[in-house]
Amino acid sequence: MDQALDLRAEEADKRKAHDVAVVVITPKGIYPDEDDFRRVAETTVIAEVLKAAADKLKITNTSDWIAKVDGRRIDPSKTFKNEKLSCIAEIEYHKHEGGGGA
Amino acid sequence: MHESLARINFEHDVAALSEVFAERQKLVVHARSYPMLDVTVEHTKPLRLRLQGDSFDELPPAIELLNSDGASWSGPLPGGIFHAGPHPITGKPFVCMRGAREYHTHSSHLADKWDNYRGQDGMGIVGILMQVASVWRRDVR
Repeated sequence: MDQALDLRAEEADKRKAHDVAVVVITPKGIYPDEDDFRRVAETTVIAEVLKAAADKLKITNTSDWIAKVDGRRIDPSKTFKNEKLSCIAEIEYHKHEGGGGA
Repeated sequence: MHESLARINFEHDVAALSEVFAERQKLVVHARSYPMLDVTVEHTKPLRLRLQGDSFDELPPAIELLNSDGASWSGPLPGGIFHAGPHPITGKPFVCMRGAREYHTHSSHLADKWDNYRGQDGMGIVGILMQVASVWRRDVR
């Protein structure tokens, strides 16, 4: 019995070690909120979290938006693991700039 | 545009820029009272931006490029959306990006009306600030 509990605890720890704490910063505010992170598996596709952020913050059109972490542009169609995002990921999410060349 | 409506629009938009937001985005907020949002983008070379939201969102915000002490920008600019100017109306360096008033009033972009972008998600004052800050950090090392 004790051994089974230990094994379960070990598995939970392993799972936690492969989670990513995510926060998404948008012009409409912060997802999930200002005081918290959303914990997701590193195998989660980034776009799923961005979609959840857009839904919660009532952002309807993100067709030309970009996502960056620490200034590096990331590909939302990939997973956190594919993008080498672990531990904590603060995603900056906003429209792509346009213009220049006056 | 009636001032009270511009004030409501400005305050509604700028409300997203909380203390936590500013900290996470590495922004120092100097002032955020209608009609002005005055912010320094922290970076190896900091950039201070003063966004004037009078008549927002009938007009896009006017954006001034400043040194961190608040004086007019005096250093080199990386090009792209950061234009050395002088702008035909302000006579200063300017942000040449849709969403900046100086872009839409420049003779090269008069055909690209603000109305094409007005009201779009991410084209409020905070959204425009995020875009400018992001490009500055990308293009200035």
